[in-house]
Amino acid sequence: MRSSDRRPEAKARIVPLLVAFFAPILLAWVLLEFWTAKAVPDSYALKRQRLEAQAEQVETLVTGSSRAYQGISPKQLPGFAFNLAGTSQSLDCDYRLMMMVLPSLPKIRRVIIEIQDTSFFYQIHDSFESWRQYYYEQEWGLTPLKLQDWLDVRMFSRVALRTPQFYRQTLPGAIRSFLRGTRFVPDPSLLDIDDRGWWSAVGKTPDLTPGGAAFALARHASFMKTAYESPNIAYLRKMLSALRQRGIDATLVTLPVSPDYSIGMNKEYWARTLADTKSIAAEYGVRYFCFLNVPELGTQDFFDTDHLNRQGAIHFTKLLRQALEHSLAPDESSCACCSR
Amino acid sequence: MSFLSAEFGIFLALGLVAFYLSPSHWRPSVLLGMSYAFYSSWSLPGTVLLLSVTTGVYLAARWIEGRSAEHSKFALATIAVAGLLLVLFVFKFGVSLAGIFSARPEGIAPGILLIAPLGLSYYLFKAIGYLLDVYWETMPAQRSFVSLALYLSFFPQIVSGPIQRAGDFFQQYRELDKPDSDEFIVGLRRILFGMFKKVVIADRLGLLVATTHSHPSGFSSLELLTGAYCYSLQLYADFSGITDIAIGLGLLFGIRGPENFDLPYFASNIQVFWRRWHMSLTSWLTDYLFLPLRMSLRGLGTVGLSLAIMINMLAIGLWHGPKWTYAAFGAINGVFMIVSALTLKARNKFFQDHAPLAHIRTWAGPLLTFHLMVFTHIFFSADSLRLALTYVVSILPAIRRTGIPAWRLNWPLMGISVQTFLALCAGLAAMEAIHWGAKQTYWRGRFISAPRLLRWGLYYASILILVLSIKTTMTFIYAQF
Repeated sequence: MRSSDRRPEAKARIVPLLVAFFAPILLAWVLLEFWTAKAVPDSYALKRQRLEAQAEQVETLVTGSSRAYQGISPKQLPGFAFNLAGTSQSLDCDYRLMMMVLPSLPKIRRVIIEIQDTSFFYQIHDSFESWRQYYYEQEWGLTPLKLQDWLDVRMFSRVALRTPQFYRQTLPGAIRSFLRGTRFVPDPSLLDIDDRGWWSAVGKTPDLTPGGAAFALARHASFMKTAYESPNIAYLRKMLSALRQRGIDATLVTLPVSPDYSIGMNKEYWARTLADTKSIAAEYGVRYFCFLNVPELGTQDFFDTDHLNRQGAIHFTKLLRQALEHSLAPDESSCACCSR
Repeated sequence: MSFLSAEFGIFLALGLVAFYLSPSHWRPSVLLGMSYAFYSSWSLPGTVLLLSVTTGVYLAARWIEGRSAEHSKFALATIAVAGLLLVLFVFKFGVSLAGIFSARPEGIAPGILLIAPLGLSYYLFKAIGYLLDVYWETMPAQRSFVSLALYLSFFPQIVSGPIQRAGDFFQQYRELDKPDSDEFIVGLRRILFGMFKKVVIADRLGLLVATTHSHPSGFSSLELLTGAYCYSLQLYADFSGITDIAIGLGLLFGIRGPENFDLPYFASNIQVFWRRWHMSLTSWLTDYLFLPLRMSLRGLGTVGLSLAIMINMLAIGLWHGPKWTYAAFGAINGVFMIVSALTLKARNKFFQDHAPLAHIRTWAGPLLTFHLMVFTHIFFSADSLRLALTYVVSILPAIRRTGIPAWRLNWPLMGISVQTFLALCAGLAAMEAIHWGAKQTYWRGRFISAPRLLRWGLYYASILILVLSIKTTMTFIYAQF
């Protein structure tokens, strides 16, 4: 005989018991949703706020993944530049973000589009960083590409979206403010993005060994799929068409990686990327600069095997500026590392 | 939809409301609907396969039962089981074989997609067990399609087991209209404990393991040894965590799944270990593979016993997938098991004759068994045999050829801080203490009769630690099998 058969009153008491247990959790969720999660901006919200605040001045826009996010310092570029790149930001996001912000940038005259070894072979929703797509939804209104992702609770809740690290950093301050009865003001240093959208990465000893490169390459290989090649190339074409229609200059650029990373890259995929990028650049009359291997950059310039640190980014952006200001004809689009 | 996702929480809450508000005769159908909705969130083609297998098994069982001639029953059962094994073979081994016979670098022709559907090994083993039980007349064939479909697709168990026996499931199925509130609370507690093990312990250990196992040549002997220990502990916390969640979820709906673990790392020898690790699989294989094999090979004496053990252990290894590393894992365990089985009598006699040494056996046995398992898990965790051997060689200071000091222990390089590691050790000790305590009537009673404030405080603290420990979602290791 089961216990509930012996104690029929148990059934009656379980519902209030469950309500009593889960009510504080639900209350905490609601408080967090409106009290800290919305109050503390994330890098995506901050980037949007800063772009909107300076939209009137922006002349150059940078799109791409974390390599561009960390590796291109807008203040080193000519004119007023803004970095719209983001971690794991794939070409579909680049395209949709660019189309969203272009109308609000009256002075825009150049868009720098980062192309890397993974660019044509992944989309953010189908990677281990797929959770980031919900930041694009919540902060930029970019809806997920896959219909089933629309059912994810992170579409609607910032509490579900935010990382525990965020709560560890903000919750103590929020509770202190609550106890004092004061308004919670988040620590601005939590987000290391400058006013031009650049993340200057510092404070880490890079692992530039072959093992470190193999680790990064394996992570990337885990989400690279040939199925995305055609759609991503189509997104790139759409970006270039839209820019051409508006008379805005486009520049394609590949950022530096460590020697071990470049040696270990999927040769077939990279050859296809290079060939397609050059061909598209020629077709649309835009310049392509491939800085994959830059001898001027050393160990001290890298954050890890495929990202530049603060110093490296400044150094590299100066090189990029020189290339941009060099009067190359559009049909001379060249791969800097390959032509050297 | 992962068990650890917020949308699963919402799915579960809505499902529970629907289940308990339904008239009792509708509850199996509600649960079946939930199970198929859950499964289809992973894969629609996989759902079609599940439904097809279920239909085939339902009809086959009825036909087997309906035949009176033994040879006819035998032929039908053989065809049905062979068909299920073929499905398993095609989906689990198809990709590898296609790779071997294809000249393409990707190994498989474009357009052909052979990915083993989620939980395939689990529900096919359930189906095979059910068919054999019907054939052996230890249980009748199910008249209700819903009951069989629910047994095979029951959503708490389809991701990573446990592999519940048909007879046990159907007995509880008949009592679905009598939910037990105490069991419901136990279920919630098991879910919380399972999530704690997975998120707080396994995933944190996973950070270290992912680093050391990705490029062993970059680490010292001591760091690799730490990585190997941590993998065995991660695997245990991860797999027993998802088992707890599965059992807990089942209890919310009135179905108690079988236990999968019984303090395995305290097993006195390798044979005992395999009776306490992944118990639902090992007992399934014992009943449906090892014992029939043992009976048919009994004429060969010791050789027959060894052969039966080796085949059984290879089956356990290859059940995880078509990889040489899994075969090696099974084979090495097979050798350990054979040596253990053949020397057991001699060892027992030795310790009887040398009584003062007997107490050494009580702690040396588990210690040795744990280390043997750590060794075999190096093969289990590696992507290839070459990587596994590299790992083993890199651990040995006398053989390794790197400039890294063999006894270096650089925690930041391994991906976690020493404080986190010590906290994890404390967490593991607490986990095992809870496992041990849960088996003791006295401690279980003490916990249940403790003031509610204390118990709820513990639950809330666990939930807080859990929420603050979640990082980017890592999948359950055993969900891939």
